[in-house]
Amino acid sequence: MYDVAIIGAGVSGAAIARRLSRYRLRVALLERCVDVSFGVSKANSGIIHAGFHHSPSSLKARLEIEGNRAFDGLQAELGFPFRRAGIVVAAFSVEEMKTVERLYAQGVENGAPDIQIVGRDRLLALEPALSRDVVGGLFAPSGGIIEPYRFVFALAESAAANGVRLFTGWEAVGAHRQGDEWRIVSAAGEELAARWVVNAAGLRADGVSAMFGAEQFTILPRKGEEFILDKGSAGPPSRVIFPVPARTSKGVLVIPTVEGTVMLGPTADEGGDKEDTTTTPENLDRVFRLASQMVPRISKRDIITSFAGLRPTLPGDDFMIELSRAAPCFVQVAGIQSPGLTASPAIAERVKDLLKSGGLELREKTEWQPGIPRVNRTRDHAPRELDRLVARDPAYAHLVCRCEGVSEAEVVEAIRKGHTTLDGIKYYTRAGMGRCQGGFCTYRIMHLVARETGLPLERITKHGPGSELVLGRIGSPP
Amino acid sequence: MIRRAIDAVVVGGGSAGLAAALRLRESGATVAVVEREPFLGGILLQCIHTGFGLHEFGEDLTGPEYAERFIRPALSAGIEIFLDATVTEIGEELEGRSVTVLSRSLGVVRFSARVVVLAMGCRERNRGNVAIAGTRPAGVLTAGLAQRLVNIEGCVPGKNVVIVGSGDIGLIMARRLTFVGCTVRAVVEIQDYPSGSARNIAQCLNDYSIPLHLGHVVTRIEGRDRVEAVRVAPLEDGNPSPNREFRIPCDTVLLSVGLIPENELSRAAGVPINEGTAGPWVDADLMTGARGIFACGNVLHVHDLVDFVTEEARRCAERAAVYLEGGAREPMIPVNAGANVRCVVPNACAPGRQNVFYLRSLVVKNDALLELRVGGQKIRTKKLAHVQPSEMIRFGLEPGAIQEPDSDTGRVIEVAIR
Amino acid sequence: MSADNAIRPGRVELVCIACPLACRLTVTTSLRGDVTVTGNLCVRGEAYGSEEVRAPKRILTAVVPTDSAQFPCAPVRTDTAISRGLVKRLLSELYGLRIALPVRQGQVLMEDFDGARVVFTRTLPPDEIPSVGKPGAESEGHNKIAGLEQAP
Repeated sequence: MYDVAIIGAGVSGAAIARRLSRYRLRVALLERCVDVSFGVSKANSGIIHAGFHHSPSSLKARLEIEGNRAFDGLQAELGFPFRRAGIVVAAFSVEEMKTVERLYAQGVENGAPDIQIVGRDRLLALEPALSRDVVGGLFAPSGGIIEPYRFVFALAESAAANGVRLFTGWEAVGAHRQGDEWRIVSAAGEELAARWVVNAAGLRADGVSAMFGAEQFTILPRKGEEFILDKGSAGPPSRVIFPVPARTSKGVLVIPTVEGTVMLGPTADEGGDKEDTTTTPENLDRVFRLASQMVPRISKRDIITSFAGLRPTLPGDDFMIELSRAAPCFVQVAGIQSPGLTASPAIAERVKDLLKSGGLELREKTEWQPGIPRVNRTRDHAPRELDRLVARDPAYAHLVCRCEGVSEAEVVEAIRKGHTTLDGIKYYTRAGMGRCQGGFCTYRIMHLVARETGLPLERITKHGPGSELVLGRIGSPP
Repeated sequence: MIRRAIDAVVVGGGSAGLAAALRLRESGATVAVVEREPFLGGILLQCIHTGFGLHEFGEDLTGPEYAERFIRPALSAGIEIFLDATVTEIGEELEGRSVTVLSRSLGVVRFSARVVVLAMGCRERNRGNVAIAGTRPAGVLTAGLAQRLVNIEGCVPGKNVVIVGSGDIGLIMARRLTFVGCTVRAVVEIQDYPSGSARNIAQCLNDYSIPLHLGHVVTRIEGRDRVEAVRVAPLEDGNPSPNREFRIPCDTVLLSVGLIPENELSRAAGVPINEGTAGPWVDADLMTGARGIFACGNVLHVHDLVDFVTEEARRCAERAAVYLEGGAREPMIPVNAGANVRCVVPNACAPGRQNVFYLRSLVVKNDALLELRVGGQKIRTKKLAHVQPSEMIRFGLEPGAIQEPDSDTGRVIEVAIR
Repeated sequence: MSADNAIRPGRVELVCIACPLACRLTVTTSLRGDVTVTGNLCVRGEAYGSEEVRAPKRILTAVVPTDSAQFPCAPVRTDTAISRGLVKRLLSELYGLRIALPVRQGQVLMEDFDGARVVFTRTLPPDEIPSVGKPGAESEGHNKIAGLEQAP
């Protein structure tokens, strides 16, 4: 029996799990997909927001500021790629500058550190890739960029290292109360008992809430398409560039990712369904048009891939983080769209406080380990330093993914940590994310998965059952 | 780190690398070949169909057979061969280049080479490059990856396939997949004419009644975990016509949408790249703008015939050998692409010796004329029965065909097709 | 004689593959079985058009399953063209095999299939790389190799 079962291992669930792993609690982290972060978090833009987009009266604003502060410490503990590159909001007219001033005032009230209004010259000095047509804008030096799935993986690993039990491929389909506990049933018919349940189920938070007889609400998916430009592409910015925001979205951004690519987007399209992650030609054109207005050197020729994510939105657009009033021992963590990732450390803190206020006893573990073993990456080492790494394991000198410089040792490590799908390995190591988009490394990675897991090639998948890469062998019966 | 001094490092052990290494070795140079696969031969090994060697050997060989004609002599020529090894960096040294290699068996090796020959070949354009909308299920792959999976890994990538692009690679794979039990539902080609050869259209599509949709594009891919269908539309005024869009159920989408010379290593080494070919600018010695770095084969520009790759690689190695011996640099005249010519390689001519140029037409034409002009004056023409962009044109210029440049020359040779 | 080779009266449009001009051929077969080719600019086109209708032939290349995990299939070819109608049968026979490695390029797999030999086109496993100043196996030290110095 578990003290707490967290449903959903995206950024919220993983952050909560890690936070709770500090206490003498039995915690289960239940993830529907075959790997952590495969839901909403997978399509995250990777921005650590600076705290000026949301009204001070919103929960989002408070948690965003609090969360933003935590990232230097988290990086020191967990070692994921993160950089405070700074955020600029670019205004192209006097009208837009008025909105910028409003954002600035909001940021000041929220407590965004060192936020400033800047004139045209200073803005262009801060970000030379911007169009000369800017009239001014806002600069928030506390904004940053992060590799989102590596952050979520690191949170989950740290939680697991401190005793949290991770269940993947475990989809909650039903629940009933039995005395003091919840009995949760999975699609495969397994049952898990927990005293407390945290609903961090992203797009399915409404369904999960209903499953437990808790509040009724509807999560409306808002699709966002993103386009990735190659690393060598012309004119990458050094800051995250925002336009002046629209009503429901922060607009199409130009994001220099921490890996060196450039990401354009996201769009914001309502009314899709929870399964619709299609990219569209209309949005491709729209995104490039908007992005190149801000950063003229952007070219469609440099695009290497695109994807779409779904934001789980609630009416009112604020976070719903509260103890359920309808179901006992149930915490809602729903509507976690932007700035969810930024806020995640603060969300975790808040959930811990809610659990405590609900009566869960929290006794600190003295043996809690904040850090996780550093992941060694061949590409991060200069040739001289590589010698030591290679002496320990020659597989660090065997490159599997040429475009991203990923070695066999890193891929094997990812597989041994449970990332046995091509997408999981891709998010963990970046193998397959480069220019050739897996053209040369796919078969090598498949062989490594086969070698490490014993799976035949026909059972290796892109992102879980149903997405097998090859359908058979030559000479075998069909 | 192991340090090693050597005359020449050849990056890539495929058709270009092997021919260059053999020729360099013949000249007495010490040569190392660095190859990322666990075997030599490059892309030829997965091209198990025939059509190779008609010019070079007067025979109709398969890719592996052609490759072995070079692998065998390479093994006994005293060339140092590093397999499962990747060049990660080419740097500058006082006299020559440093080449950093990573390999499982050796760890980090740093060569000090007087000459580097780039022979890394191409990568394929992929879905992202052509921005096909829709979902991202399993079952979308480039034709080359599918070819590897079938012909080397022995896998069947799918059951019902739609191929995007009617270039030779796509056509060859249409037949190959049919052979291994797939049904190829359609080949979709954006141009109004097929870009592959008539032979392949006949023997890969017509033989198997595979429909070819000319002037069409795939507008989106459907399917969440695995491909379920594609939507295809004809082009009208250059745009997909939405009300004539149709759906083809399938589980595999093969992309045969072009090749890009793999020059990331070259760019990082400071080798100036010709954005028209996506390969390095080279002079009549096939030396790039970075001193001592030469380039040949598909990394220089995308070839159609491996025979020409071999010829080019040999010529490149000959000039690299002269360079190693401290041979004087000959005067050269720049060569540019003129009317109806997409690109010409190399980008300079050394009038004192035999020159061979490869170029691609921008147009499809019968009874065309290749024209060379210097300073506006026509100096050479050649009749071409048929030109099209997907067929590389080779032409040679004998020594003395063009006057040596004198001191005040601003002369440029322009190659055009009329 | 396969059904594919039976000559049927009628007219067939073909694109000639003998050279890049790709003439559009019309091949007419009379009720008596006489074959006439038009649209060709040369004799090669006539030969191609007439053979395609009478007895189309193809060189077959394929991969055959092996018993090796490292090299799961071996490429083969027919050395001459076989009847197009027999391609499917040969493929089916080949896919039913499990070849034991090693094999050498040129080695004969089948002596006679419709008059052609089926041979391997690749030596598998590939020939060993000789140790010419070449680094040794993983277990050997670096300094055993002539000319290689370890950086301090």
